[in-house]
Amino acid sequence: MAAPVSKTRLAYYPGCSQSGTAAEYDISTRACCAALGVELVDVPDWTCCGSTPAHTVDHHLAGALAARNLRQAETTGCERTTTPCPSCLAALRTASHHLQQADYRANVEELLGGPAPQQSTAVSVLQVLLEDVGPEAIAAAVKRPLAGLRVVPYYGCIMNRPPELMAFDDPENPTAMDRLLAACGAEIVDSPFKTECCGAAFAMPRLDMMQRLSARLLNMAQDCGADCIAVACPLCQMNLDLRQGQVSSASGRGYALPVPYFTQLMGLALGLPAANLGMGKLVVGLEPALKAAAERERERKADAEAKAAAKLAAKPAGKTAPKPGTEEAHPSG
Amino acid sequence: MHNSGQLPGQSPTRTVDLAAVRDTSFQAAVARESGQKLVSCYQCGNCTAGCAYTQNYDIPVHKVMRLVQLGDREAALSCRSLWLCATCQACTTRCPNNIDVARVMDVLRHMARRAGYAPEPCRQNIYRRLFGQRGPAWSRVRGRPGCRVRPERGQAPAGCRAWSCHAQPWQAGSFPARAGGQRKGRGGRYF
Repeated sequence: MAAPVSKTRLAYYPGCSQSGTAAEYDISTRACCAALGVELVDVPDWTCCGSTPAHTVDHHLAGALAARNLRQAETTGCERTTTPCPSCLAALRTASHHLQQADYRANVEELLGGPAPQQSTAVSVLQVLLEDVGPEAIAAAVKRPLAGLRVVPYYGCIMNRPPELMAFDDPENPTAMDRLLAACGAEIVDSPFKTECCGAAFAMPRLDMMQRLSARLLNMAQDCGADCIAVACPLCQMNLDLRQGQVSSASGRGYALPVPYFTQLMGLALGLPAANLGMGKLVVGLEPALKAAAERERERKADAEAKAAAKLAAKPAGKTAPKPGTEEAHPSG
Repeated sequence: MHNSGQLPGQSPTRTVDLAAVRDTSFQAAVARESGQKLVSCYQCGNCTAGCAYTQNYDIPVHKVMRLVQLGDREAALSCRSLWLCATCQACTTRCPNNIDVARVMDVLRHMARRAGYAPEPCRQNIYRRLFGQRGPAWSRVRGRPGCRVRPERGQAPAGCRAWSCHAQPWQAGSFPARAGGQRKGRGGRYF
């Protein structure tokens, strides 16, 4: 069942975070893609996409930094490039969007000292897993369902925004991660702050701003009864996981909410060993949440069995045992 | 509640001499550099309603848009809001007139920087506050012997936790290499 279910081949742009503070996002992405038959070809000699610092300073510089990586990606011979990081994704997609303008392209090509890529663009790993693999294939490949685990999927601000640029999922109520994790057997908890900003990089210059915004997300997830928050962005993950203590000291509420990447949760469901998913790199460990979920699932099953047994025991009290065709005539709660 | 651009001691309303503040070249430059049709903003306030940072802004984003429409260059480029926008794209996504508001803010940042509203000494102070007083930043982050890490107050706990959880990636040599592994690259100004 776990055999490769598709033959997708994409250029893979990891991005700086995934080779540093979010190394677990990189290794879990690679592990999930390998298990699901998505072949990732590393972009050779990749460099920083420019991310927020570049577009804040100069749009042409930002375009050139991203275009250089798209050009490198073209050398792999793959039609599409994929990246797990929403910030890299936004940088690469913004560049390919603006490169359609002749004067912008001319400026970028001057900076690059060569031709800018013509067609190439990037898609998120989330999109690839949803559209190229699909929830059905993932559900078929699941070995250890995340039964009972109450997950709040948190998408962050730029995974789906602006919709004209990202062209994926709903910008206000995205459901891609919901569908993937539901296929893994998790219980999806609907939370209204799916795309609210976590405070982004302001954790460095203005800690107070990040604390206020991340506290809203953690409070909401806690109020919704979540066991964990699944994320798709290395910056959101850092704010919600690494800085959970800082947020707690500002909000005055205690949290014990693990914040794994959705690829880590998928990897667990696919039966991949925890060591291959970088679970040890989470500051707030996922183990207690998994144990609580397993316990809850066991109780739920026992409860269901007890109810079924009680129903079965109640039936002989009727005049005759119901025949197969007459069962519907005796609905019971 | 934010203070709507009002400085302490100022009246909540500000009389603007439209003829005096209007800088048509500024209006045209913002429109050209952002590629946006700024006249289509009708001040509905959707951008501000969705802005996660508006309580920290001195001028809410819809008023910044109005200042740009009025051509009030000085007021638009000197506002602190420009530096507190995280480009989360909520404003752009929710604008009923399809204005890329976040890109307008981006362009205003570029202009403010070029015009000296974010002077170098100011940025150097922030840098020192974050990374301490001496030496190149990476030597501090990598924790080379003899380096003195003086992070901003309140940042140390997260740093220590990062150190314990992410020990390997922070070690020297694990950062992405420069393009082509060279100090100065092949062709072009930046590579």
